Amino acid sequence: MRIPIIYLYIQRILASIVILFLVVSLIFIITRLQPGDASSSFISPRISPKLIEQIKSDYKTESGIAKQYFAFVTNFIQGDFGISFSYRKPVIEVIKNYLPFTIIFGIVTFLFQLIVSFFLAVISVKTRGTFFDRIIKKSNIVLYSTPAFVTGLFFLLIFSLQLKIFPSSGLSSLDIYQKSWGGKIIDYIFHLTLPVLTLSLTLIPIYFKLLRDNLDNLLDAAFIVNLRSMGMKENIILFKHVIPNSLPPLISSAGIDFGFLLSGALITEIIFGLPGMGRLTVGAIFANDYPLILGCCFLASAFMILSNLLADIIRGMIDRRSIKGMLE
Amino acid sequence: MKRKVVFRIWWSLLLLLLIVLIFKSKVVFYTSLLFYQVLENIISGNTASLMQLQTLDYDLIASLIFLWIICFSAILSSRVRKLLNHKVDPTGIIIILLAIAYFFAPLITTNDPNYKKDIGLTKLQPPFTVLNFVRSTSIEQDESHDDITNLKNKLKPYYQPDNYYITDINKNDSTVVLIQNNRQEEILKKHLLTDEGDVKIFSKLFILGTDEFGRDIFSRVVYGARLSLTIGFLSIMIAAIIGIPLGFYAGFKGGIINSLLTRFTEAFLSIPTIFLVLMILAMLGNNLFSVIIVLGLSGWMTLFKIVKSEVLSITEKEYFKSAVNIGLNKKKLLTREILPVISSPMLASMIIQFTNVILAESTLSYLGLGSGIESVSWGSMIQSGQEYLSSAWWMLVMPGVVLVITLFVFNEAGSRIRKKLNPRITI
Repeated sequence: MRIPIIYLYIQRILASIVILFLVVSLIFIITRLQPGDASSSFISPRISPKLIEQIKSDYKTESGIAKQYFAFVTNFIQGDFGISFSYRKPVIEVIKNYLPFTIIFGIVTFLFQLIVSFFLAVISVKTRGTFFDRIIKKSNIVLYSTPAFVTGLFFLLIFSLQLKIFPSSGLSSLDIYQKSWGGKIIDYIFHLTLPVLTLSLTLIPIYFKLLRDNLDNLLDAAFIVNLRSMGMKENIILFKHVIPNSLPPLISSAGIDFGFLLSGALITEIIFGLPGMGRLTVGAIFANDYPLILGCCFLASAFMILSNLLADIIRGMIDRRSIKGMLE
Repeated sequence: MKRKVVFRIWWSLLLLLLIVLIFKSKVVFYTSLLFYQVLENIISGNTASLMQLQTLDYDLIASLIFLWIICFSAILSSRVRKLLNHKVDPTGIIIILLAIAYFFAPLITTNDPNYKKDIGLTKLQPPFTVLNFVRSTSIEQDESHDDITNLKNKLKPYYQPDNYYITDINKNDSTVVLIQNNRQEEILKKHLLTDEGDVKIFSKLFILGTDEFGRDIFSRVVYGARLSLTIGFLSIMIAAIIGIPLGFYAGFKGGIINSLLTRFTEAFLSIPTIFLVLMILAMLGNNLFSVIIVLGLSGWMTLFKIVKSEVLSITEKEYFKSAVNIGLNKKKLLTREILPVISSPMLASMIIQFTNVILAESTLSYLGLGSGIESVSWGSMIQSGQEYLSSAWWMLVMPGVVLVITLFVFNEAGSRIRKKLNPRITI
């Protein structure tokens, strides 16, 4: 029985590699369809024709799209995304500057929202039908339909402009280098509280809703009623039978969202002025900097596919029945 | 016993009529004159004077005609009366209010959303400010205007450039203080007398305040509903046109085409939507049309998935198999066996997609992209509110709250349909 399961995993991994290849082709097609040439941002009427030709040959824009595509694919296999036009550095080096913050920010937010939504769901299920439960549910629906930029700006207005508790933008204070080790950490925490709250408030309602629905359905399920009739304590039923059974859908949903978080939270980064992948990508799109666009979008999709894969594998470990289903 | 208040649809219509009759009676009168003039011009073939009418005038005439049509059809037809007599809950009320804002925007708002007055005076006024206007008649009216423009001047007195603002009005006093361009001057009231012999002083209420250019935020919010709902509706149509046939095809045929289409949608879904939209927008250019197309193109995947899985599950059911064995042709299979079953999940997902599109549109115009530059949009209002966050909170809060309420209402409607389909969903 061990071998078929590994075979299924390998099949799943191969499928995600195929999707990754499709994504790369899709991004390439979309970027090359743009009216602006890749070299057009470096060419002005005052430049001599010789220099224009040199620039064009540098960016391989003179050859046809098919040749560009094959050149791109060979480079891509070698792990080379080209040189960013606007930063005048290899794309990988540019991304290296922005990636660590995004990953740390994404992981912190992800953990925060998972923990908060889990505890909220458990509390609201334990107090089923009470006033407190209804308040949580109602506010959850309102939060669910609040866009991130409205939440972020309302937070800025209340906490940073009116109450003046948290700073309004940036990753750290200007005088962070003079502070001690503990002071630095406190400074970072103060700067990142509002962004983390903003970003997680967009996803907490979704997780909460998912968990809450699952828990509600499971609490009325036949095997739980059976356990209850056997005289088991409610807490044991909840923590040993109900919650583990309600996790799998949450895991696959969280896998998708984790990928999105790692690819950069554009709106939050813009509102709070943070150096993340989202702003980098959008800047690249506006600057027509197509090696950087390809690199960023490839990375984003790679994170998406990877975290999906990870979620599926974890789900398969918890619940063997779901392995076959995830291949469809 | 607590009596529960039941709202009915015709209440809102009555409210609208009251608002129109109380605040807009003059406008209605002059608009009907204008409409008469337009008709006369069309009949006599004089199209040159029609060009002088702005789009807002056509807007006003069209919404008035629509209002009259609704009222008369309610009187004449019993079916419309039945429809208007439906009970609605708060969610329904807000949807009806949005519909009213969509169709009758020029009737509820006080002025054009893009209209600017003396910026130095009207900019950044807090909510519920009342500003007093006076129309000076000391300047001689130009006689060379033809009839239509004269009518327009009567219709919108505050559209004229020779208006003044007053800070203090004393009814008994014979003078008023005029302020324009930061100059103050006292003027005798008798200079303000019009032909009819009364002083034309009128006050104007800015319910939700004004923005940095002195534009009325309430008007802008109402007109912004128009843009958001239009974009949402049209891009849903595009998504449905692409997604539903593909979903049917993949669900029916199965095999290689199904798996290819599924991988293709997965590739589409793997690129974060906002990046995909931004990339295509950078390609197509920034205007209303391309925003609609882009949002439609980025939204068909979920519809495709739902239709495909529903069709697949139906084809495996026994009633469908027996229908195939009876020998129904494909058209009858589609219209009798499949469409009735999948129509409500399709509708639910389309409503959810509608909220997603509204959200995406406001996000795009918040980023300074999309249609926010040329027309009024909630997202661009929020963006300009961000710049004046410390001095004018209402510029951010008003459109933000309206946007949240709109999204909430449509989410609620979608989840209600879902709840009807699957009663086990609790929230």
